[in-house]
Parts: sequence; structure tokens; C-alpha cells
Amino acid sequence: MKDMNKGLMKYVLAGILLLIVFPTVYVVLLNEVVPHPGLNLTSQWSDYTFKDWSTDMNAIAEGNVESENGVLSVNIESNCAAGAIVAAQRKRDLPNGLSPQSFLKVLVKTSSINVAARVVIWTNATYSKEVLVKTYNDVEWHTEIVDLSFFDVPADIYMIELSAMQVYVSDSSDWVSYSQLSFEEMEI
Amino acid sequence: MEHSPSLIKTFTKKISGIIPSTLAAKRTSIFKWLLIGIIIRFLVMPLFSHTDFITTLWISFTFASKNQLIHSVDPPAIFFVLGSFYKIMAPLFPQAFLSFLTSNTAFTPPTLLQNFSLLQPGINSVLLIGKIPYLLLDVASAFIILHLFNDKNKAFFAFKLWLLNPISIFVSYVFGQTDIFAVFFIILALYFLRKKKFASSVLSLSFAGVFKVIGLALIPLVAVYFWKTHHLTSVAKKTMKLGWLALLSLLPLLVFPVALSLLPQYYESVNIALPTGTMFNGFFGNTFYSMGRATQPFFSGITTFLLDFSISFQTQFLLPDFIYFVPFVYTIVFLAAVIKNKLSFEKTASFFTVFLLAYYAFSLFLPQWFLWIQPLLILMVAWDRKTFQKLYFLTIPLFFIYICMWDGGLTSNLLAPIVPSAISWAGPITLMIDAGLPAYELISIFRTMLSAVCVFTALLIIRHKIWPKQQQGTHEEPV
Repeated sequence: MKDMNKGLMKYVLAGILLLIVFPTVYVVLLNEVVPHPGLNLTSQWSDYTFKDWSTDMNAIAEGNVESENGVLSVNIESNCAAGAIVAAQRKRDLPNGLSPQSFLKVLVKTSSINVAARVVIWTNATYSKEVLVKTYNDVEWHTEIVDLSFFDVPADIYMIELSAMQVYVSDSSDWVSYSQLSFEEMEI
Repeated sequence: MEHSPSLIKTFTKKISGIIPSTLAAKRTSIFKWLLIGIIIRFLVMPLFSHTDFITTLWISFTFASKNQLIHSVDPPAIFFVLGSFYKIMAPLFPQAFLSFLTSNTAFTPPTLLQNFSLLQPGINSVLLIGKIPYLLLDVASAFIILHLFNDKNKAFFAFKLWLLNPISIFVSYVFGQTDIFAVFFIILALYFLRKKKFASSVLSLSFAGVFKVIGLALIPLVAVYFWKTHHLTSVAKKTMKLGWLALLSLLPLLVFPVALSLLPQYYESVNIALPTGTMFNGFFGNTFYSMGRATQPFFSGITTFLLDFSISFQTQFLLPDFIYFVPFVYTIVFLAAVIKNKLSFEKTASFFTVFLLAYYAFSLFLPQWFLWIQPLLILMVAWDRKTFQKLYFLTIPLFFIYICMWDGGLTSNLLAPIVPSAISWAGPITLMIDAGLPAYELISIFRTMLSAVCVFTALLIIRHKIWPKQQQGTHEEPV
């Protein structure tokens, strides 16, 4: 019996050493030795106040744009057809000389699934690129980080547009809110 | 305290039961090799990862924390199992990492979440803990392999081959793919098949099918084996038993999807501004997109992987009439099993191996799928080392050249958890193209050689295992 206990003890100790002690020490060592930068973004340009933004909309849309306490609200009237777009636009003091590894960062929330948040970057007066068109099924803030190199956005920006696009016709008015707009650069 | 000796006895007996009695004398060697196998795995686990592993982790944790399922092309059962495990293990994971993974931050393109996750502090712990379920199934598979042989030396050889198999280590611990779940159940099915426990075998294969569709492909072959070996008095009784097997094979396949369909679906918002051709999954409004197309994810997965990746040809251009090579080969293998007078465990396993070898030879296969055949090839090598060992070892370097086709994704970028800048390193294809070399053509030469080795091995299996030489020339089994 004593031998059996001794034998079992040997296996249990070996098991603890192999399955718990060795991997724990190994991983702690790795976490210490290997530097992990995480998501290291540094701001190149930001707009947290949303002053001086103008309003624009397409022919089938009705709505307005409001700015208060660092939140830009883009509102669409009820019963607008799908595809109706109301936009807030900023043309002045925009980022110039963005690095090739730039990210657009913005907080977004929407009133319902009936409306999409839409971010457009204009590279000149006639050419624009949609970089974000999304719907959400809640009314929480969502942080959106968009890799601009994926969309070939040039270093100089002509205009930025934060808009609301009707996806489904709705009896009630819909809105999209934006906050903490910035252009960031990543460092590894 | 009085009960402790009997408890110890029971425990020791149970531990001993894991190893076949014929191998009792080799117990120390078995544990020694197991130790080596586990240490290799532990060393590799926290060092490497592909972004797919982070996707699996993300879906599983979302399921564990929100009880909502993110739909993807992978069968949902895997996320249910892993999510349940991760829920228990959650206190061991670095909490900052989990907050990052399940936060309300979304990235465009969506793969940035996975890339940035690999750069997060604590990633090495995440990789180690996250891959523990794979290790458990992997080690369990090694012990089941010991039970697949009568000959103790063959069993021990196969055990060592499994534990040191670089493909198995790469797929589960470097690439971080979940195919070991299906492979474990396939090995378990082989164990039951050897014992002629057909119901348990079919049930195991069905469980394998819940994780990867390939598990289902062996069921018809098992059914044929059952029909040819079961000595029931009447055809009616035999048919009833076969019906029971069919029912068993459907049970997990029906239960899992029904149970999971009752779960609320996670609203993964997709950015439809992404360029056409981008493989995004998620919702825009009420429409679900899978791999960039508005479709049902599971079926789009099956048709893509089973048919679109297969060699095929169109008979003419008036109608979309296609001949797909994968179902074509499977039908031939199945018919061959049907006309064979006598089937055995060895022959049934051989038929399945031939099908899989033909599949790899003539289809684009994702590297993790090469794990499916590993236990079967190990069986072949252990059964007949002289014939199959060299060919088996030849598949290994050819496989590792084949994965270069995925460029940095399956080579240099896998180092990101220990060298963060490796996330943007160029892969072999890019480097070769930059050097002015015809990269894809060069790798395709080796891929072609892999196909040739697969076909040659399949032919040898037919020659040596299915229709051995002594039976040729007789009229016992006319073909």
C-alpha cells in the first residue's frame, strides 16, 4: 500500500509540475520578456466640439444637424424614403499630410436599425469615398476605427462628412450621433 | 481516511485502463513520450497564433459573456463547447485582454481586431489557456490510438508518431485551428469500429460532423461495413438496425443546430463601405452577409468548401451542368466498398484514407484540413511501415511548402505574439515576387508533388490493403 501511495504521489507531483508549474512560469516569463505594444494610436488631428459644421442633404431627405456638448446629431424626419441622406460637413482646418498608416476614429450611436451611420471623405470637390456605412441594433455608443490605407485615402483631405442614411422607411424620425472624431496614427 | 486505499486502488486501476493491458510493460516509455509530447506542445502554444484563433476566441467569449452567437461559416457547435470552457476558465484569462476583445470597438477592415489582439499585453497567457481544450483532445486521441492495434509495437509506434506529428502540432498550436475536435471523434469512431460497436462509432462520427462536415463522410462506409458483417437472421432486422444507425447519425446533427438556433443571434454590424470582394460577415439592417455576400452562412460554407474548392468541369455551356471531383471520387470509393465481398476495420479505414488522399490531391484544401487524415495515415504507416513510412514522411515537407501559398498569414505573421512587428512582415510569396521569382508557380510545383504523393499512396493502399496481391487473379471479388 505504501508503495502504491508513493507511486501515485510521484505521478501527481509530476502532473502538477508539468501541467501547472511549468506553463505558468513559462508564460509569466514570456509576458515579461516580450514587449506587447497593444493598440498604440496617437492623435494627429481631432474635433471634439463639432463647431462650424454645415448641413447638406439629398433631394429625398428632410432633416437637420445639431451640435451640443461635443455630440453632433444628424436627424432625419419621419417617413423619408430609403436612401435619404442628411449630412454634416466640415471643409476648413482639416488634416493635411496624414501618414500612410492613418486611422479615422469616431464614436457613433444610432436611434434604430432603420438608419445607418455614414462617414464620407472627400479628396476634392468632385471625388468622395465612403469609409463607413453601418447600422446598429442598439442605442449604445460604438467606437469605430477605420484603416484609411484600406480605402486609399490621400494625405490631404478636402472635406469630411458625417451623415445619417435612411435604410428602412420609419414612422418616427431617426438620428445618428457622432462624438470624438479624430485621425490617429499607429505605432508598433 | 478508511476509504483512501480503495480510492487509490480505483484511481490507479482507472489510470492503468487508459493503456491497453498488452502495453503494460511499456507504461514508463509511454509516459515518457507523453511527457515529451506535452512539453513540445506547451512550448509552442503561447508563442504562435493565426488571426483565425482570435476569431474563434472572440466568437466563443461573446457567446460565453452574452449568450449570443455570432454567425460565421464555421459550425456553431465549436463556439458552444469552447465558450462553455472559456466561461469556466475566464478568471485565468488577462481581464484587460477580454475587455479589449469584447468591447464596443469595431474595426475596418474587421481583421484589424484580430491583428491588434495579437499585440495586446497578456496575449501569451491567452494563447496558452485558450489552446488547453485542444491539448486535452489531442492527448486523449493519442491514448485512443494505442487501442487501435493488436500488436503492441505498432500501437506504441503510432502513439509516438501522433505525439511528434509536426502537422498536428502546427494545425492545433501554431495555426490554432479547431479541427482536433472533429479528428478526436473520428479517432474515437475508429476505436468503436474496431470493436464492431457500430452504434457508438456512428454516434462519434456524427459528433465529428457537428464540428466538421468531413465526419459524416465516413458514416456511409461504416453502414456498408455493418451490413456486410452483421449476422442478423433476417434482412428486415438488419434494415431496422441500419435505420437505428441512421437515426443515431442524425441525432447530434439535429440536436445541436436546433439548440443553437434557439439562442439569440449576436448583431455583428458590418461596414458595407468595404470594397467588393472583401470577406466580411455580419448584418447591415436586417440582412446578413457571409463572406461578403447576402446569404445563409452555414450553407455558403458547405458549398464553398465541398464544391467550389474541388476540381470540376462544365459539361457544356447551355446549362450550369458541373462534374465535381470530390463527390465523384467519394461515389467511386463508396461503390468499391459496396461491391467488396468482405469488409474489415482495416479495409474500411483504408477506403476512407483513399477518399481523403484523392480529396487533397485534387482540391484546394485549407491547411488545417490536412489534420483529418493524420490518424489514418498513422494507422497505415504503423500497419505497414515498409510500404507507407517514406511516403508519409514525404508529405510533411511538401505540406509545409504548400502552406506558403498563404504567404505571411501562415508563415511570418504567426510570430506576432512574440515579435509584434511580425504582424506586418512579408511572407515567402511576397519575398519571392519582390526578388523577381515566379512565386506561385514554384510553390505549385511542390503542391503538384504533394498531389502525386497522395495519389501514389492511395494506389498503394488499394494495392496492399484493399485488394492485396494474393486475392488478385482469383474470382472471389470480381470488380
